[in-house]
Amino acid sequence: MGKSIELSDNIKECIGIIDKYVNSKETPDDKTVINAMKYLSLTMDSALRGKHEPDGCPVPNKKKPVGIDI
Amino acid sequence: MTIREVTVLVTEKCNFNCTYCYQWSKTGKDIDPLLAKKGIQYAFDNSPDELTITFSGGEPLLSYPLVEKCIYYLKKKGLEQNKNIHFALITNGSLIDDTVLEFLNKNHFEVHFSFDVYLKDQPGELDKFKVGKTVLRKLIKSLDIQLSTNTVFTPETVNEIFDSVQFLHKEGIKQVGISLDQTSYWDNRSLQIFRQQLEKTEDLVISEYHKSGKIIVDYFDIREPSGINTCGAAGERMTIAPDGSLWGCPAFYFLDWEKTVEPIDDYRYGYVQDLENGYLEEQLITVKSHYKKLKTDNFRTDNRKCFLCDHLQECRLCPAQKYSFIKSNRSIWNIPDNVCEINRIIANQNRHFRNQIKKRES
Repeated sequence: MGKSIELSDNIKECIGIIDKYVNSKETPDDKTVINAMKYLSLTMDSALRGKHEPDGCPVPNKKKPVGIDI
Repeated sequence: MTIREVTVLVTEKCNFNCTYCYQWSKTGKDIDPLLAKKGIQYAFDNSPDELTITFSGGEPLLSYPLVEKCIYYLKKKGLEQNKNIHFALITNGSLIDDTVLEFLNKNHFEVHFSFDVYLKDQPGELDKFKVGKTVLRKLIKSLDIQLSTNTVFTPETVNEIFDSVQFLHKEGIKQVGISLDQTSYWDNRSLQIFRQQLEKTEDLVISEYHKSGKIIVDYFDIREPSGINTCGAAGERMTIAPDGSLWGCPAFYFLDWEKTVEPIDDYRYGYVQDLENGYLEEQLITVKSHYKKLKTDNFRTDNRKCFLCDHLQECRLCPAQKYSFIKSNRSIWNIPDNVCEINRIIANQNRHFRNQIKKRES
């Protein structure tokens, strides 16, 4: 039995955008499709790396190259 | 919960009255020394082999005796348990006399000097610049102090970014910080000037990078984006506020919660007083999970969802700071368009910066 995975709303929306692009005549603009594909690849990559995300704090002098375990 | 960085807001008092200060909720409160000690002890006990403690405020040097006591306490504990303790201070510098300077130097402080360089005194701020410059020079000469500056620019002073960076660089500052006033509205014209000033500053940063290998202005980042950015408050940090409340970051303590639609308890860990009876353990985990959701891909602007943005990986957005840009009820997840534009300008500038560096290196 395969393990079931709960997809986030963002991922579901990306799949929807790509699906629409592949299957329908009504296509979203290319940039949206490319960004949706990029997002899927990024989240997959992040999941495979154990979801270690960069610290995005913009406060000066706080930008230490540390990651955050999600 | 592992803690590597703890910030203690020792007082809400300040001897300056900067127009752009985002600490609206200032009540003039000082932290109770006993609460500070208990909070620090918790952070120390939950730190691995090292801990950085940052003293901030208000102006923390208004409570210098308390800062001194905390240092002695932590140094003793660090020696007993063989942990490295690093000290940092965010200050406007006006209260740094020779005694304080010697203390900071002796304890190898990182000093983040809030130095508003206008290259001249502003009306009503007699000698502020002159005094600041004298302190700055003394700090630079103190060899055991790791010094950086931060300057806040308003829409009225944004055209001075390049001049001030150049001035600070000439004075010998190796880490120059730039911040934008969060209490003003940044219209298209001021954003255009901001963009031009960053472009102008880039040449100086690149030239210094090729000389020393160091990036002198922290808006410029040579690292390629490596994932979706998460709010730093989700990291191994904790802030102890003057009322004993505990947060992931000072920005959340100073956020005007009455103007947000999110409940304050989603982001407040609780109070130092609750640490003793173990009440907080469950709350710490729940609040941390809320901070972890503050990722760029979960935000949206009025017009689009951030996860489909071209700048997704480069965007360094502070969900707590952005409230100050606007003054109406908004969700923490909703980014005002002009705040998004500021981040786009920085992201584009950084792309250009990295390309220029690559070009010169190839």
